[in-house]
Amino acid sequence: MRKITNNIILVIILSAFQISCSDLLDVDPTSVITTDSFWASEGDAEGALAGMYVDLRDVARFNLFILGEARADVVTLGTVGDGGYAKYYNNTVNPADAGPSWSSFYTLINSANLIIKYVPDINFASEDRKSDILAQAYAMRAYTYFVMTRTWGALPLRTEPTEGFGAETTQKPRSPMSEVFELIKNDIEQALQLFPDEDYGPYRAFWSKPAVQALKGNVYLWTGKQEGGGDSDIQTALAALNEIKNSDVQLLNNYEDVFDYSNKGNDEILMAVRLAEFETGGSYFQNMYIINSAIPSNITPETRQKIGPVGPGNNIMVPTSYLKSLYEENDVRKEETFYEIYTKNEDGNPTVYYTTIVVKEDGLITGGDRQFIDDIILYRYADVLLMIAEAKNALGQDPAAEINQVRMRAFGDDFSGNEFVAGSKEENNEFILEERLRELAFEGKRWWDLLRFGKAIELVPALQDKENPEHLLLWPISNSVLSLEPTVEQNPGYQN
Amino acid sequence: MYNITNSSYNFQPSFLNGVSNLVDSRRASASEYKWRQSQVDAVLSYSKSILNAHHFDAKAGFSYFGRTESRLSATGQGASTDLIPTLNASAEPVDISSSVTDQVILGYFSRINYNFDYKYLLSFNMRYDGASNLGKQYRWGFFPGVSLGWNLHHEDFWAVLPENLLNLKLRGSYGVNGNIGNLGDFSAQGAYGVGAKYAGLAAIQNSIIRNPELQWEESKTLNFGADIGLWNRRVNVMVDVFRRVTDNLITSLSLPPSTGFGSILTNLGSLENKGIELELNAAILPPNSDFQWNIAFNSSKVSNKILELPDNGTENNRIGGYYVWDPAINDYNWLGGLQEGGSLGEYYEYRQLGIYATDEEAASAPLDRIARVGDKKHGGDVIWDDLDGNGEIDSRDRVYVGTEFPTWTGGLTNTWSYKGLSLLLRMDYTTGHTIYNYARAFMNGQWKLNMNLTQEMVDNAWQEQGDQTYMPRYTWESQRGAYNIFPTRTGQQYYESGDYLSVRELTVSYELPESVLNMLKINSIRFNVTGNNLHYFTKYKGLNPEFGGRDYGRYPIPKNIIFGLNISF
Repeated sequence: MRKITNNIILVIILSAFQISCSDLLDVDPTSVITTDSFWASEGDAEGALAGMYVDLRDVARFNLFILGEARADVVTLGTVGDGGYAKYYNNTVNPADAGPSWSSFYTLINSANLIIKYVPDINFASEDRKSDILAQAYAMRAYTYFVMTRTWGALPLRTEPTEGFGAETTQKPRSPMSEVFELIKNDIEQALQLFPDEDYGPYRAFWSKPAVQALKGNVYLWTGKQEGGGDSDIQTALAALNEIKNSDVQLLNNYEDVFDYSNKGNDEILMAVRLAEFETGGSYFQNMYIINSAIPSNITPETRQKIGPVGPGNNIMVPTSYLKSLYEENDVRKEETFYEIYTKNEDGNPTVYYTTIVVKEDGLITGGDRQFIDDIILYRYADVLLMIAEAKNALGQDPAAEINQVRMRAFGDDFSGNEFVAGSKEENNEFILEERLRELAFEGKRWWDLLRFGKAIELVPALQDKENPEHLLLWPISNSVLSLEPTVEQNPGYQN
Repeated sequence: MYNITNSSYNFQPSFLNGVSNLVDSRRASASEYKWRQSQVDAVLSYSKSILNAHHFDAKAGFSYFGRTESRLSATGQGASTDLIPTLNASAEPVDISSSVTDQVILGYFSRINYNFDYKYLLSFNMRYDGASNLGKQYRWGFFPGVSLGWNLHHEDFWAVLPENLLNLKLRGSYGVNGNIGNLGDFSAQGAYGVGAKYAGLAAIQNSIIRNPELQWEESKTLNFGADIGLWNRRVNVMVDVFRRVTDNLITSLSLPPSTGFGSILTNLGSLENKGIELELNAAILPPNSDFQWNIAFNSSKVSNKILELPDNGTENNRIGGYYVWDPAINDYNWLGGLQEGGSLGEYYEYRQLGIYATDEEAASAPLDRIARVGDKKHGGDVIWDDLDGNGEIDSRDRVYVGTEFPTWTGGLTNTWSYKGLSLLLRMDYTTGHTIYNYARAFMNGQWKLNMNLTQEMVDNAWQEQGDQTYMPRYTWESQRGAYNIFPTRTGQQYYESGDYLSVRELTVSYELPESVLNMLKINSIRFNVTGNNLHYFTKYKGLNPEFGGRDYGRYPIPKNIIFGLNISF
């Protein structure tokens, strides 16, 4: 009898657990959002939008500069070792040491793809806001592919978010550049149609219609010159760039105000990646400053004052003498761009050259320390004006007006005598390329400019001493990427 | 019930950074962490013998495991004083965060043992387990097992042998086990992470791709063994041979970088582990001797092989790996990584042949595509092996240099005793694993300017023309220019064998004889001295050779000496 009772109790206990067990295992997440619960409300879309810009910031802090400028003729070895940057300015990138992987760029693409896929099905209180968010995602995808295709050429083209792991969706071969540019141009048109107005976003740190016009101008200038688009593409570029003049944008009177920390999001900015205190660490500018242990003791108090606290600063890269030689003494951009440190000679005069620091975006001094958190500017009005000049010159029009607008600010009262006067098309081109460097040095543009003008091999000393440098204009794909993407092939000319 | 609570706070007072630079951000932070675990086990057992020959016993039970982790942390800055180190003095919040995460595992289990007259043994067991962090349809798994045993020494025919000369039991078992490893709480459901901000807006980012099909990892083990006892069990030997096939291995699968994700947790293919285990215990001297010597020895050998991987269109469904010269086929091939038919944890590295003694010798060096300055080699640079013979050193000139996982592991324990005095010596060993001595390469390659170098480098680095040595020149920039010891290429000498034999424990103890104790009216007094981790016999140059993988400068296992005195009244 006792055994039967035992068995009954056992059955009761087990069945009681049985009933509740499936429920017990349904543990709801408290502090994370799962895929099932996301993409339901307007708030989700807003959060995902901010998330996409966080991904942009991740690539902008260092990689946009590495891809857009570090291989050009503007930086060289600093005082404390190369920090791994020598392969860029010496142009020795190779598959074993290939620099930034495309992985973080595709993370950004994926964030844009998620918005493009899910936001159309979410109900918004304001339809305008919904199309604004979608427009920004299209703009972001176009911009990111534009950076990537100029870097690696043909690309795996992903227009859907990654949501599974089957080889049929995750393994993609590269599509030719022509298809990549077709997607970029389509996305730009989508974005331009979707933006509800001409306004800039908060802090000018979000894609807006005028910013996308600048991107469009940039893309069409490239395809006009590099992808056989010819005059018709350049016409399109010029038209888009001219549209920007109708928006709320202008050249600031003082060059230095453009980069001042307290003046972020100023009227010259079309699109900048926002770096804010408590949100992120510093940018690549810290590598072109200086580290405490490298500051010599025999400098003047004024020099020490100018350097100030250094925070995470380091002296891994310094401007090349070529870059420094481009500036006239009375060009205000010179001292806003870099600062040369001299140590004292036997007589106590600071005449012995030591090193150079870049002061263009020297960040914020707070609590007695420096943080390199100036915004990273993607497009600003001076850049637009010089692109207009470039397009006009390519079409046989006189580019002087826009060039001189930029130079007038640079020389101020000394402008007369420093005006640009148009010459032959080739001479104008050379001048525009140089003027862009003077104006935009360290803003991540120079390598792209050299490629677009077809001058990289002619002007970059580290490319001249290579045999068959043509293949070096595209970057190698790293071995670690190739090992995981068996359908992707290496760029021509690179050893495996 | 089991609880851990951990709270802490930190404060950075203002400080002078350099002569004139006062850093007064005064960061303060506080954090609290709680782990609460509840566990319930209910077991019913029952046993019965029939006719003195059939013996049953059975067990059934239920277990519940629930765990909640919660975290709270806050950081602030801008206090105007150094006097208060806590957050209440901070003017600005820097970072504030809290989180809660739960996991529940449930299981039913039962076991039935039966034996007939202690000759034939049969046992069934089964588990039915559910875990909250697996895919919704795949939370429950059923894991049965069966084992058989035969005590030959209870058989009648065994009587032909002298009594207690030989005991022999043969065993065989097959069982399925479920495992979820260290699976995160919500990995199957995918996650959108929060916490980042852009321009003051809270961001939500897709951080984990969901895998709703994530299920129990199953290992099926087939085991045959024998227990042998000799001379009234003065010598016992246990031998086991096993093959374990683990299906649905819960592993993070590396994704193509162009998916935008590094990896996804998935049930990845299947893996085979095969091995043998041997255990031996022996009392060397007869039981009636005053002096006793016992030896216990065990040893096991395991090898792994990847049987199956998810289809991804490549040969052997390879994931990762190295595109290198394969002498077996006289062509380039993808080796290493994960491949069907291959093993886990293989290392490939450039092979160093020696050091150029002089500049002239170095002048004929092949073009080095890995180095920053590849076309100029000097005395003191490494001679790299051009494995494919194409006249260039590139990333294809790498070769297998070992594996992370050991082949043999085991131990040996000796115990000697004489009356109240005894001595115990316990040793163990592992062989076959390779350790990438990253810390040593870091120092010798001067990967950071202000790092010291090893004594080996001081003694053996190439210094002047004509030096015959095996370590390259030690200078910062040329090192980097030539990439003699560089993060992307260290050469095989930094992939060191981890073979070791360790003196794990040596104990001497003495127990006072009863005659003395009786005088003192004390039950027992025991003195002992124990030394742990006294010595490694190994060629490994780092501090701790005990397991493979990358050694960033592991902590050595501490040596300790313990003196003990044990008195009971």
